[in-house]
Amino acid sequence: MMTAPIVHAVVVLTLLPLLTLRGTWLWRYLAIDLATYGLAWVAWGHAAAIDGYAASVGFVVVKIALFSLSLAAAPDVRWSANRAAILAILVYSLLIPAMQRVPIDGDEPFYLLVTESIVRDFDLDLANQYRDLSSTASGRLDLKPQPGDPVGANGEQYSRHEPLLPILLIPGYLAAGLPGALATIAIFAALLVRSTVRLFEDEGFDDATTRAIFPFFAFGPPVVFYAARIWAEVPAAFFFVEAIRGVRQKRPKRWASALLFLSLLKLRFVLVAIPLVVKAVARSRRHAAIAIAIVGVPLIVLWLITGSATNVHSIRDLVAPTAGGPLHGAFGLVLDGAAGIAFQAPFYLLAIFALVRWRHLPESARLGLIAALPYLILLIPRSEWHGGWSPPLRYIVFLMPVLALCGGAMLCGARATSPASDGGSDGGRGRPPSTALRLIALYTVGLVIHGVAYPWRLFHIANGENVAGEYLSRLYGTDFSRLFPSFIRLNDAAIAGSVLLILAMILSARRRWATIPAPFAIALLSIVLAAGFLSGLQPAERVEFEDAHVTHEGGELFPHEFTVARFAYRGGWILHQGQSLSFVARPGAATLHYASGHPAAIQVGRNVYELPAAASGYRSVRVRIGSPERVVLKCLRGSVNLDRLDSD
Amino acid sequence: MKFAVIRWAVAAAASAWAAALIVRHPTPIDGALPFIVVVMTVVAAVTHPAIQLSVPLLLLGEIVFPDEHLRLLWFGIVLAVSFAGAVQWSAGDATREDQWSAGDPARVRHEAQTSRAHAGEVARAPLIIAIAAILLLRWIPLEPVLFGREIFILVVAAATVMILGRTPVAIAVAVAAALFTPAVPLRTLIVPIGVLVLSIGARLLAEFWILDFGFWIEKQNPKSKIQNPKSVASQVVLSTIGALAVALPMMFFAWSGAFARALPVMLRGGPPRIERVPVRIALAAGQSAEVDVPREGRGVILSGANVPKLRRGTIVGTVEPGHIVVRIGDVADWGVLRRDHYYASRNPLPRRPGGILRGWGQTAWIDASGRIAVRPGTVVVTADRGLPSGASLQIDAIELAR
Repeated sequence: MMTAPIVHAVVVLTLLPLLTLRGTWLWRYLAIDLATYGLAWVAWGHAAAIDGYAASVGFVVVKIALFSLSLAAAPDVRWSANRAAILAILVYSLLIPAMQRVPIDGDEPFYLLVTESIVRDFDLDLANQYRDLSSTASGRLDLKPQPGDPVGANGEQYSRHEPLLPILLIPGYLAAGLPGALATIAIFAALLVRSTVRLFEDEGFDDATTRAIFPFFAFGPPVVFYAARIWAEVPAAFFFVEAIRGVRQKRPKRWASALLFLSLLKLRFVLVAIPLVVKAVARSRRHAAIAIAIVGVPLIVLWLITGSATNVHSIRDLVAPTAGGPLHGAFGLVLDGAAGIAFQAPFYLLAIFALVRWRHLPESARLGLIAALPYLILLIPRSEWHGGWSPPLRYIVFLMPVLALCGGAMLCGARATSPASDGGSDGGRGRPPSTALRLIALYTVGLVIHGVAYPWRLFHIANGENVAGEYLSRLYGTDFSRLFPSFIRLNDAAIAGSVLLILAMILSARRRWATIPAPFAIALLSIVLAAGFLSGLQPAERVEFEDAHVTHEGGELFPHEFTVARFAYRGGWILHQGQSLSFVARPGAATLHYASGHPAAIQVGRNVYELPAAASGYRSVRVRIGSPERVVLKCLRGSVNLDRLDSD
Repeated sequence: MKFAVIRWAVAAAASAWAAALIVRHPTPIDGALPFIVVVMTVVAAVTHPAIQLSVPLLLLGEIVFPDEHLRLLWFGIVLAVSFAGAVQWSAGDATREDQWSAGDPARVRHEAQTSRAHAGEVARAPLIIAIAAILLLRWIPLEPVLFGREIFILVVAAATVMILGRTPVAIAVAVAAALFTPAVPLRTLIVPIGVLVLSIGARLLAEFWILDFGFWIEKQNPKSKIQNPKSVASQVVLSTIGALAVALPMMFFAWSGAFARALPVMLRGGPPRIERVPVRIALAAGQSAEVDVPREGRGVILSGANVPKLRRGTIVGTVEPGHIVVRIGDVADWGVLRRDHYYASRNPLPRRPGGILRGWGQTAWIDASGRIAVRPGTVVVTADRGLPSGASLQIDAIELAR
């Protein structure tokens, strides 16, 4: 049973160097390759305490990282955009079974349902699909129409999702069912890699720089987490890159078709298409008709299907941003611990720093960023800027090729300014493997191992915590999540992180950031790690009762985990009579925030408190935490929704 | 150059401080984390700055892995990869090649300025890598370290590296010689001395062009098409073998004593992690004991006491039903793999080890009990009448199915 995946992985891992490396470096890589197999074989017998699957994934990812290192360092490499696409599709072929360990999630089963409806009924009406879910290849028997899904005049049940992606999935689905559909996306991901490499070539990047960035883009998050999952993001990124290349090369057939497909994939991408169209037709009004078609055709298609040209969207989506404000979304997309670039795809942080050198960015990068500006302006004030129930960075995956381009420009700039920034004993042809890049690479390897080994953890409830914070909180029983910036539930770390980001960008603009010697950088990181760890062990000023560090003895999460737009609620934990929870809090006076329809009584430590009913919203009560030990809060009477505890 | 030393020294001190703050677990290996990060920083200083990444990885392991075996194995894997990288670098074929600086005038200038210092680093690196590896393998925990003997071993190892030409294989030979030296009793120091003498002999032969280290393919086959001394065989294969030979013991540095004295067991996954019910009965010559093996039982775990001088095949008892004859080789003296007793023993390792990994670092050992398969029911174990005076056969535990 396990033989096929192992053979598959070994074949892929062997083909990668054979396709690219030559001469001494090929021999060197193969020798190291064999040595790593030997070491892994010996270590395997000692690793009984860990999840064997995760260890295997870790081994494969580390080997791909080693290959990527060789690919970047070797002086003589067989390299082209097509070869890059082949490397990518080989690696993505490993992802297809990995992503099927659990049923597909988020929007994926709905896209697949539409494909199945087209294939079996030749229509887009999903009513019969919902009635007989046992036949869907997704294996999801819990599907029901999503809130706001269009309903036809005769009771037809349509999907809120545009039909182009399901149509694109048809050949793959007919060939191999769900794996075939995933393979279709993987092919799009490989095409995306090819187009992105071509984009780098178009912009004059040398092969060495492109090869250094290639693994971060192709094998790193977020692309790798969408490369074998049914979301519109990877095909959209492919069409976006093709559109940019078409506009830059003044090839109307390329940009027109790419933008049309982009707009048909998701209506929101019309916002990206409009600036590109304006740019393309600015000097050639002959193409105005094409431009109008690019914007108009998707609207007409949607009107024909759903009766509304904007599908489930309305004009209010454009003019009435919801809670959070633009700063939450803007800084959140960069810094949020669960949904931000810094923690989920740190390579692209380089692109953020590159923005301060706007004039030095490649032309395509500037074009892409300007094109994405209206989209981003409308995205960041929305309460769902983080992507909702999806792998991280969903709404900006399409932008990654452009951000990779910015990252490439940043690396080239770093070489020119800081030849000895890493200690002086190594360097880079086009990009020195500086300390920052090494750390980013290491972190990226960890992210990929985690995401591939536990694909269900790519979907994280937007509650202000992230996987790392939750794990440490459970392990040590104190609130580690507060150390990670959260813009979903704004915390102190988010504010501090934002200030630091601004300072770092200012320093970056002044080109000071690259002068920290490598030994100091790592030592500083070690001290930050130690300080963070010790700080995490201390009681937090605020205790959120739904969080992982709180030990729950009964009760339930409020609102339910899969409540639509749960992040819009004040989360909490409901305790009924006799149930309790325990947590570590600062000794002294504190304010307990709660909601309760009827009077209730709780016991905190040795003290009993009567809680008046809070019929309209939340109330607070003053409590006293007696000792620095773990505090037990027990519901003595009634039921109470505990929101949070703020120490004075 | 001096500034670089100060820089690295400050980095090492800061990293050690951070490690001291983070240490949470009670084993001597965890306690030695500040020492380990200092050693790794020194290795990074003389080889490649990327090796310093091992420091945060070690600290992360201390934080996120509560399971002791997993955590210590993680430390070992980090060190193994780091040392493999360092050894490869010391061979001159890792990342410091000139192609990195091609086309980059600023870096070329920098390389030129630092080339002299760089050459010194390259020359020192193998020596420091070997000493660092031996320190990690033999100096943790610190309490049982016999300083005089250990310093002697370090000196001999350094000499071995120098004499063998500072190659990766030289590092591997020196580290292996040190690792497999119990140092108790004193005469076991003959092992590294013997290796040193052999190295001198080999070097003398090399000087007379009878044997050429590292480039033996070319010498053995003068008509070989590989004419460059820095051939694929010498540069790649030998450096990789050397790196692997150093990496392997480093992976088990947390149990280096057990690795050295029970190598086959450790290479096969260590002592089996089996469920067991302790029995703890010692049988003198001719004595018997009945043991009830429960339904989920798979065998009895036996060992000898005071039998280290017995040779392979010597009968030590029988197990009924089935009249299973238990010999030295099926079991061994319980404590024979301890550092202080290993040299004097004549026992081979049990065929089906049933011991437990005990201790840490150079003092780690596995009790040399063996598993004898039996069926559930009443089992009678009898110590052989021919056992020496004071010797006994011990029923340590009953092995259960997992």
